[in-house]
Amino acid sequence: MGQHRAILLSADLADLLVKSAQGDRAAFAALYRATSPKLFGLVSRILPSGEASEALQEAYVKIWERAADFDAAKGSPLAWMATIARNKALDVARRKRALSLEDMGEGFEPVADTEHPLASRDRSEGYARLMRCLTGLAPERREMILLAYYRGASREAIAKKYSAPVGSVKTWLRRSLADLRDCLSS
Amino acid sequence: MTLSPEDDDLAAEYALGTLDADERGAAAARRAREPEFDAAVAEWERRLAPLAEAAPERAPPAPLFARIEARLDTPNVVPLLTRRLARWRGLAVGGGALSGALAAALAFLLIARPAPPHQFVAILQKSADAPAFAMTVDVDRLEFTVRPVAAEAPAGKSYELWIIAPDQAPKSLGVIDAVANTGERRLAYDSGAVRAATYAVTLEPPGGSPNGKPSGAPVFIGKLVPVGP
Repeated sequence: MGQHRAILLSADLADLLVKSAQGDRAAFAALYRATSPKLFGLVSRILPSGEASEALQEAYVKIWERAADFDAAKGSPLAWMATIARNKALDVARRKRALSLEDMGEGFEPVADTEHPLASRDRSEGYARLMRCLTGLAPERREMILLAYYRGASREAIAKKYSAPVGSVKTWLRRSLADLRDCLSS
Repeated sequence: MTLSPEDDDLAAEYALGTLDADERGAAAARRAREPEFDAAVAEWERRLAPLAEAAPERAPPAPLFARIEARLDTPNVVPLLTRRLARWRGLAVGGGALSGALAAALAFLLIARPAPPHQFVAILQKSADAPAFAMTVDVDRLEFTVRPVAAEAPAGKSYELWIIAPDQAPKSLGVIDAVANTGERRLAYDSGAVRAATYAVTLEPPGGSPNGKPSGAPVFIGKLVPVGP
């Protein structure tokens, strides 16, 4: 909360992105200060720390180069930046090795089943809606989606964790994602 | 036109990140070539993006921003090329600005001599960060060169280069060990077909495909983009 959280307001971040696109290094530095703990939080749960730093660095270089592409009509600045960072992390993870959940360092419980979707006041309406839809999935299916999103788990890593055939995991993931899509558009 | 349900599933899994390295590379290549597929991925990324809000924060290493700034400052040919080439969407897989590795590959190709107006390049790659081969093609003289950037064939296999002209079957341009670094090779197509073609690399038995057809899906793929003034 307080100062730090306040600057994560989308309007502020969008302003910093616009200025970054115009070559304003100070704005870019402010953008980095405001967002890097969040983005590093994401990539460092997908990659070991050295590779996570590398992925974060590449992500911010890309954010700088592509700042002009940010479109506020298509989502929040943080969502846009997080997608870039997460894609970098996944590219590195898939390139370097097959990832197994055992390799992934500390555990992370993204959503406690008991947490009410609206419990966190500083999270967006979009988050609340997605959580409501995730809550509609069977618990194991939900966990697979969250493992994939937060830990970068591949189908194979998920199959190993649940002692299930990779083909079944693929089917489950695709059905779960289709259910999410339908729920989000309803 | 709408995307098939299978392709939308693929876009969803790409956005979620559950594809393996080969599938992810192939999907990234499709993002660059197919605006509809790219839009489907972007839509899935937007659907899932709110999850990022719940990720616990973690402070990155203190020196990291200095390293990022140093990358932005690097006064060499790579960022110049990057800016010059950035407008050719679809060159970098992922459709955005060129990755450092890709730009470096282009610089490697282009520094040696200024590009004549009919010079094109194709970076054959699996993902934006992993260019494997760099081709130059002169569409007037119908000659090409190919050089490995970071690819080494697995033991007992050969990389074979193919041209896939529009509406035509893949045609071998030779085993790469044999054609790389051996000067320019001729293309038996007209310049329109050469420009529009897709270039692909497959893994084949030593010496190349036994039957003149690719034995499997491409491991690296790319299209030509102009590099001339």
